[in-house]
Amino acid sequence: MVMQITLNTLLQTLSQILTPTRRTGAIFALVLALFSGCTAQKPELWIYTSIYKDVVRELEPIFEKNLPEVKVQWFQGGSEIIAAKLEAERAAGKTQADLILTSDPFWYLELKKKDALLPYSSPAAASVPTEWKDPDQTFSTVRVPVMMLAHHSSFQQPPRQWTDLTQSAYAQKIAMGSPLESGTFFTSVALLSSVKGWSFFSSLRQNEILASGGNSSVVQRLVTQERPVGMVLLENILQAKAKSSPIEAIYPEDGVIPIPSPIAIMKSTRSPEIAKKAYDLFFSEEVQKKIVASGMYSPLSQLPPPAGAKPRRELQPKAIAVNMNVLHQLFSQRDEIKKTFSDRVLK
Amino acid sequence: MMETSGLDIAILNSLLISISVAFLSGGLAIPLSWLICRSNLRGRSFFEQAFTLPYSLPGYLLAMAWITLGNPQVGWLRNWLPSSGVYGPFGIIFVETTIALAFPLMELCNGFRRLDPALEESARMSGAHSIQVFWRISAPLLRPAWINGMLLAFLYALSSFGVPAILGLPARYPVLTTWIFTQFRLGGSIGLQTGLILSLGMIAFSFVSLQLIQRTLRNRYALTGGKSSRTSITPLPRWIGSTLPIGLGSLLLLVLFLPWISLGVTALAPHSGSMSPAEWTLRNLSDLLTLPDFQSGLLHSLLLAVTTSLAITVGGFAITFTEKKAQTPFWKFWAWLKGQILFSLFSAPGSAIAILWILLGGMALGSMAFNPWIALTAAYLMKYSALGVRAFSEGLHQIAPVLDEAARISGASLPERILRLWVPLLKTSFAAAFAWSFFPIFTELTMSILLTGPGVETLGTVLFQLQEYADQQKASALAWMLLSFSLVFAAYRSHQLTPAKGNP
Repeated sequence: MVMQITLNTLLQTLSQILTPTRRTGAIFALVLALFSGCTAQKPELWIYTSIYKDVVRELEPIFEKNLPEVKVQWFQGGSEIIAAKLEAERAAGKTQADLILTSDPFWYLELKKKDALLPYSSPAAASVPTEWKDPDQTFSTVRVPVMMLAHHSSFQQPPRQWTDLTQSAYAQKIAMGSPLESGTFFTSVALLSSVKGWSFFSSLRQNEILASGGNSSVVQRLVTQERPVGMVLLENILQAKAKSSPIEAIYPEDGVIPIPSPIAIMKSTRSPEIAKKAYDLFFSEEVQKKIVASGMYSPLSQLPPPAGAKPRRELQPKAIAVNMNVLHQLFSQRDEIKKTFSDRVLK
Repeated sequence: MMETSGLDIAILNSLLISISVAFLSGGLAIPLSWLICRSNLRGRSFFEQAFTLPYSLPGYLLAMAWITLGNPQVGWLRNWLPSSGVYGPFGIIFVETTIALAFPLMELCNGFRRLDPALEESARMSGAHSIQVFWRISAPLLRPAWINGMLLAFLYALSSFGVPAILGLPARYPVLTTWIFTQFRLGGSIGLQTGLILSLGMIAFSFVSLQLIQRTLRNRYALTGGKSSRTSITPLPRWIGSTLPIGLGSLLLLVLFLPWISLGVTALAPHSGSMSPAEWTLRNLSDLLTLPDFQSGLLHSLLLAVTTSLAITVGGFAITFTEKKAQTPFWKFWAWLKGQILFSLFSAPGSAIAILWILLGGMALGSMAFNPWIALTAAYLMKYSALGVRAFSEGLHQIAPVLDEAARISGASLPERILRLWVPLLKTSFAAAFAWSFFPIFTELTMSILLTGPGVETLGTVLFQLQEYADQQKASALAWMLLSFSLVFAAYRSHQLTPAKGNP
């Protein structure tokens, strides 16, 4: 009875204090508080990453242990999804991301151009080759996926190098992702066009190459033999093989394409010092080993290659050269590259 | 500066696809609706339910299934398809027509049920035979419903993303939604602006189209009023009556059950590409059921779908009720405007709605807008609230105002009248609003992958994760389960709602 009276009094008082507008606002705030968990919490550090969710799950306890002062929150998605989300957040005036790790190096050049990245000379990243670091220290390569070729196990005449794909024997046999949909394919197309020329892609078009989706689409087309040869990332090949899918990797004799995938701290970060600690942690051996286990090479030379992949020394001499100069040059031609690819391959 | 290379082709392709889907589905719906509503076709109630089922199925799941069935190299049906297989405009039009057929079919069936049978009966008594009765009496009266159904099919096809992305892009066939998608993905901040401008353009285009059509229809609906008398059923010639159900059954097998079987076979295969029945295993399904992300995704999707569908149902009732009952021009206009805006948002691509929320929600609420529960709920409400309004708009207009007036004169307050009069009379509309919004939200993918956050997986994001990164076999298993669930749910829904007149 007493409780009922108290509750009624409280409600009456509230309804007197709150105008209808305020009342709506208060209810809304209450709902928001309930949704966001109304307990006092540690400050948050948001990491937007395209690293696989399985790997993120393994990284969580490492970050929890090493950064006890913050609650690390991960937003995991494809590189392009993260770019779209973060660009929209920035357009809204504020992003919640403190650190970003995706696989499209050109996006980092764009963010740097807009002064959105915090320069940081990380001692932990000191041994990353200089050609894979921004000279102004706004980002550094933290992992290296490798674009290469693959074929269905039963396909008898697999290509040995990129240029083999232009032979008529591969007509209607090749799949690749679209550089308009996938960052890794954009980087690969940009680099291949600079090395092999656009005539290479015109020949692929003559061979009716199927260019759509991302790496997973290519793997799917390979294993179902819809297209028995494909351009795809090493990590996707290793994952498919681990699940007994009939797929074989081809390290092209004219060089694989390393895709330097950066890490950067957003200038708008709420905790620069903690963000720097997290940045350093990504270059620790413990974290790098997890990244390597997911099928990517580490930019740190002391780490072994992914299980089932060729050693770094066998790849490096022939690998297509990627460095900051090349990336800068290609960055300035970004729209032109997309348009040329569309004109030559997608029409 | 806006990058618009290829935009003209994408717009033309979009219009071609949308117009084709609208006319094909509209054309198919005419004989089907007549057979269902005015003939003695065997199993006509079943066919009505079955042909509206694909609307409840996520388009991207059907498209995934059709790749297995119709890809030109190894597709099961490749020998019966053109050289490009299911890829390209024909594939897109075919799959989208199977989905969009529900709109004109339901509009026409509802129209037939509202049509005063006395008009047809008078024509028949004057010596007209069934075809003459249909073309001279029924068809002109049903034209508004037919046009409305085709408009909804057109808008559906215009805003559709999953089917053209999966079946169009491999054949170098971009449409407006896939073009916008590439702008969002790899266009940087300029691409974001371009994508948003185009999406807003699509919303405006839908708004204008709706106004034009509604203006045309408003004056004509009055002709279809009147008291009901018994509907006369035309007997089909015996040979047609016995062969037609077989033909329609075969069509259903093609549009519904073959995609279901193809996803099932992929889900049962031990690894991608293995099609031998000897190797089939339930491991993918059992692994999926024990996957923590799947369990939490299922829970979250269920929670989001139930709460948001409830909100859409209540909101839909509130908007249509306000529009009908509002006394002042301002409130009437405000309720009408809300309904129109919601319809326009329904025809916008999901990725544009998500970006719009991040942008506008972020400006208004700051980082609170990025809370995944709030963001997902808001985006689902923006995209699907039109379904709630649609479910109630017809139902409310079919209830005679005199009932409410009588209750009011008897001293019933507004809440009493709503609870004791309107809710019982509109219970099928309530069920329709809930059901029609529940399933698209339960399996939603495009908005969810942009708005999800730590610990808030949904079935759509889990499917995306499995498909993109981890395990395509489990992705197929999940797709098959979702499709199976969709079929069961849609069958149940159709069974529950077919007799209702307030279905959207």
